[in-house]
Amino acid sequence: MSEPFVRRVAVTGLGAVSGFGTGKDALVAGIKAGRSGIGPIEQFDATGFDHTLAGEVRGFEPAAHLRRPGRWGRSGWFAATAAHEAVRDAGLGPGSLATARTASSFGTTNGESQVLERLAEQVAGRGPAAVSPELAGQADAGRIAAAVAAELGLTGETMTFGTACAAANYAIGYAFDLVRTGEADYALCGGADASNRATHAGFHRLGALAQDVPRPFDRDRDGIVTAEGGVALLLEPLDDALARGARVYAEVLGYGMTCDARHMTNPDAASIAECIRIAQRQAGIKPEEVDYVCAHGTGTRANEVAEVAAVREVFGARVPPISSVKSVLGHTMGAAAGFGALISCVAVDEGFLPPSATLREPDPELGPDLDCVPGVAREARVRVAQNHGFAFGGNNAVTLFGKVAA
Amino acid sequence: MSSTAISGDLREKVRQIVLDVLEIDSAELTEQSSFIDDFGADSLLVIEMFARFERQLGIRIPKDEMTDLPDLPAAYAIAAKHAEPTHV
Amino acid sequence: MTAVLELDGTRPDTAVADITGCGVLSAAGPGLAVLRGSGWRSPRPGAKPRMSLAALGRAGAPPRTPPDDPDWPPLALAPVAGFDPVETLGRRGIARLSRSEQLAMAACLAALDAVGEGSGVDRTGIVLGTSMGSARAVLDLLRDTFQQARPYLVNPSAFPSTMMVSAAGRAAIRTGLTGVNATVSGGPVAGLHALRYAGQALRNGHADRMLAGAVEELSPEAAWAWYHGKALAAGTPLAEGCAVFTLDAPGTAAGRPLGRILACETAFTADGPAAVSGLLARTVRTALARAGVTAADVTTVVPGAGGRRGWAAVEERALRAVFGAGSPPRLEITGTVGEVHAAGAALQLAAALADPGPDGGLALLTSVGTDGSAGCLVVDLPASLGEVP
Repeated sequence: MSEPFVRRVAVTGLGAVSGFGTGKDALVAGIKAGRSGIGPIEQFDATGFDHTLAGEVRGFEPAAHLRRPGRWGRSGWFAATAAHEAVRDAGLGPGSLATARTASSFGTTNGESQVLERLAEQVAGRGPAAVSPELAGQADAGRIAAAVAAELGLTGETMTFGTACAAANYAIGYAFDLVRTGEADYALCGGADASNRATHAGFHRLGALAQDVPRPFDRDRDGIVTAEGGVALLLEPLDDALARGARVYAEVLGYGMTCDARHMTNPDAASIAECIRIAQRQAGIKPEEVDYVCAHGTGTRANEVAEVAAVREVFGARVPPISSVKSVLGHTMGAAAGFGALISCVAVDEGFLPPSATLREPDPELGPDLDCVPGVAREARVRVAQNHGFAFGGNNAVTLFGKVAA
Repeated sequence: MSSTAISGDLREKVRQIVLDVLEIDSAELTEQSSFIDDFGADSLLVIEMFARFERQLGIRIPKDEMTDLPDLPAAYAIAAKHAEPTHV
Repeated sequence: MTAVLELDGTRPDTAVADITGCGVLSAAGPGLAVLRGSGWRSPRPGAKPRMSLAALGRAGAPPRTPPDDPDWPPLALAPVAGFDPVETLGRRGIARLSRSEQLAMAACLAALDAVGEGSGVDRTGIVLGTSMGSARAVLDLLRDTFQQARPYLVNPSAFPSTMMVSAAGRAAIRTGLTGVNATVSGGPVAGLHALRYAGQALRNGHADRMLAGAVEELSPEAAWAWYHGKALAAGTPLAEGCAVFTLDAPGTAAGRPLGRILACETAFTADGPAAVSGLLARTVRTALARAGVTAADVTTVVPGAGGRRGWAAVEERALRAVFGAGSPPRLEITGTVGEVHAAGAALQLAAALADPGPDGGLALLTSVGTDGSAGCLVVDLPASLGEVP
């Protein structure tokens, strides 16, 4: 039997819509400087909540970025806008991917949550018959990857992953497999979610919301801040990228997935550790080769306990610097692992460690000798970055990105 | 912690909430029962109990006290502690 | 040349997966056997099956007449039959599970039960297709945020069920499977996305076995949306259902496969229904080529759009483009299982497996979504040995 066809996969384009605005440059600058992308909730009426902060995208004008914004919900807008930027960022013209076999692979936690919120408003007090069929037709979460495909004129495989707060890593991993094995020649991948009432209420009720800002790894950390955004990576074969003189941020080395299969909301350190090991094995990476871990780092007490325990189990005495960009973005749900992937790729390309910007005093319970990169970014060579995503339902996915030798 | 007396009425309501959340019969629940060991309760069910105290009884438990709830006496105590004076 | 499933262990390089078991819940009842002989086969390609509400009743299936409940529109509904969640899943915690979670957990358990010892739990995964998870769970939670004294006074135990991930997550807890666990979305094509994801997971070494399928639940709000939008084809009940298939790498299964998936392809176009027809035709040709078969080898077509007004024609145009005048008979499932939206492709596959015909054959499943997605699956069916499990 012949050897299966595989090829190396490069990240050549990045795009983002976040609390720092539209565009990845503002996002990267904000993360490096440790600026906060969190402010008062504007996307829904926050009256009655004790916690009224979120990492929202301010002043987003869909018509400025999209051809047919009326067809899609807010999550779709974010994914498609980020995808447009990733294509431009990769030095490819608009429509250049339309003739190729290009996949659209995006993750989300809540799908088109604002559409669902409007549907709920329609039926509240008036009963289920008050629902609008046009609005209901926009509720399918698959429309997020579809928005990207429609906006970019793509006709390939178009898949939305609903694996909650790890979804972008599932989407990136799947896209990586498609390009790697020749199922697709390009892939746009990432994640998107919109700030919405249901998500905020749910985490609020669980006691999982921070008093003010999220402080991952901090002794006094007290929860997450809900947030929104969209992020896109453009993947293409490394050889093609080099041949056309594209800027290669990083190579996608591999990824791994596990499922806790124990509890719907509490993380499981052993399962996370196994996920890391699987990812490293798939990527052909030994623990000592990892120079930076972009943590899931939501800022809840439970997450960092489990995440750090897992990291220590895999890395032993030598735990690489580990930080969380949720410190400035908040928790962007299905986009979160995508933002982690984006900043990991830039970190590999430029050589810096993103900070845990809001860290004041590391939690001694997380153990000694933990470099969580407090405050602002720090220059450092990052040959391999490991990007974490852990979700409700015990869904874990870890992606790895590596420097391509010049 | 001061021992706050709990009225019979509130006591019964708290007990009923515990029964509803744990999905057990009244006869199974004693003051010695351990929610975790005897009924397999987890942290999410405990949060649900606190949530029902607030939603059904108007008793708000501060976030930093919404941790463990091992048994009925603890439930009575925390409810009584945070009940409005008119509730007790 | 008709492709007949070889049981000698030959493993085509291009085959996607062997189906070694399944769990099916539909309006026809539980399992595959109730689907057998149920689909209306048209000897004339493109002829629409004649269906009346009375004719839709089957032994054991609940009545399909519109409900009296004013919460629901005057539509025929086809809820899952023969499924007692308490009996299958136990009483404890059942009230906290959405309908989608219940159906998915039960179908995954059945799919796993149907196969013998296989890969370890850490190398067995689950992938489920959905539209938006449980509309009921999301809308109930949102209603609480509007109506309770404070907007955060929602039920915390109900929160996980509002996310699409919950069905696959709960199924993993119930089955103990710690391998890959994924959830994919995409309207009627969701089941094909799930099957394709599973095939890729097997091929790329992420799992040795995958439970793959899709689920859909009924809710008054969704039903009213279908009703106001006049979106159901005449005579089609709105339905719920779930089908999950145990997939092993081709040629590795110990027992006799129910079928071998030879190809599973999906694509997308934003240019409207006419473009979808063209796209589906191209996708079918690609799938047939990848499967190493020709249009002439296909013995049955199982279309997916029959339940959606105006969309059967979109599918038929594509099928005519591929098969020309010599079109294989159609296996229409909406008369049996109703319009099951996100579970459509999964139930189409179940119907094909239930009805391989005495000599087996090659079935082509097609599916199109109103957002512009299209997909198809080619499955090789073994000759029938008698009662299907």
